[in-house]
Amino acid sequence: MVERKEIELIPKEIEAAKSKDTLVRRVRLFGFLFFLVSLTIFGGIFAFRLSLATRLAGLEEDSAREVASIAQFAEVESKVLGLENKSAALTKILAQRDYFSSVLAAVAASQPANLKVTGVTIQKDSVLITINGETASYVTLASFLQNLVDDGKGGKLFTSVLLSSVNQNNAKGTAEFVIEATTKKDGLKR
Amino acid sequence: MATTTSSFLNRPEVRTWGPPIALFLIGILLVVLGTIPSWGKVQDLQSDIVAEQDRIVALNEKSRQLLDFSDQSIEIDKQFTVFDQAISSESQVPELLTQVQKISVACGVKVTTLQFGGEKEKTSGKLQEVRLQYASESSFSRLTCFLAAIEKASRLIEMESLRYSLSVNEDTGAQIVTAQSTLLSYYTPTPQLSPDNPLTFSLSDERFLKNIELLKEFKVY
Repeated sequence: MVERKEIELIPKEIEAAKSKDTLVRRVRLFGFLFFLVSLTIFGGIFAFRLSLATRLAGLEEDSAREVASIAQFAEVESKVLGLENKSAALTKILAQRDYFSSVLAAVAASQPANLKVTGVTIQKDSVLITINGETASYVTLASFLQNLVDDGKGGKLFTSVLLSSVNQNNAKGTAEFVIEATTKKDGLKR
Repeated sequence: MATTTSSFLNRPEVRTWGPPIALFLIGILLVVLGTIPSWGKVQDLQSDIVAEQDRIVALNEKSRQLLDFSDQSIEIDKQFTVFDQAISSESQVPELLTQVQKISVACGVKVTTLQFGGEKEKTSGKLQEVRLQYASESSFSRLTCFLAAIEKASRLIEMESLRYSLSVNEDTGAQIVTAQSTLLSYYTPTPQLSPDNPLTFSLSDERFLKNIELLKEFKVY
């Protein structure tokens, strides 16, 4: 039986020194490469940033030229914007406008001959209209109330009427009344 | 101190491991202090460039539109005058008194009070309000004429409130209608020009053309 023994050609100290030397070289290479890569990336990004900044400055100059060109038309622009604002406002105002003349027309159309309307109060955006008046006859007052909601007369505008007060004026021999008439929704608009 | 530093640098482990570790640390510092902030700046610059390019396109378009409008300046001036009669510019607000007076005279209504003032007033935006306190004496038919005339006047005037009462002159027996009203009119302040505000207006806009036709129906006082 032959006994096998390991034969060590290199002493352990030399082998350790060699492996340390390899490790040192690798660490140095890694450090150098890491530095080189970092420097390259930094340099590349820095150069890219510079080129972008130059490009942006160029674009800003172009913008400034366009702004100067627009400024030459300031008077035209002011009139165009004014026209646009006025046209938009006109549409809005006319859509929201209450035509009070239609109230007077409706009251006049409903008014019997021997009844006097002594006052009317109208408020924008309010559906309630107060009508004051006087008459010598309750029958005429009833007729007036009926006319106010008659489709052929005041009923085109008013939906309901409420006789809120009637006072007998003995000196004049008349009944003074207050009517609260309710208009249709948006009835005063056209 | 110098000797201590020198002896430290001359130590074999420092000479062996020092340079790669120093290079590694410098690399880290370059990344942390240089590359990362620069990358953030690069992204900002890229978005600024895109925004600036878009701005140039918008400015270019606005410049072209203004050039077109400039070629149509006679038509714009003409239409501006018409619309300015309806909704005046700030400088023409005082003319409102004259116009209301003219309308009253045209209908034979005697004006007893006519002054600026009112409860609420809008002080911001593209449209501003101005109020008039108005009182008059007339007959019912003349008051009706005044109301109809106000509604058909080229200067847009609204009635915010109306209260009228009928009284009889004891000497003559004539009926007098005393009316009190708050009149509301409008004006547009001078527009603030900004090169970055786009122009959306067109002379061929359907609503604008409709408004031109509407204004033709109104009477100039």
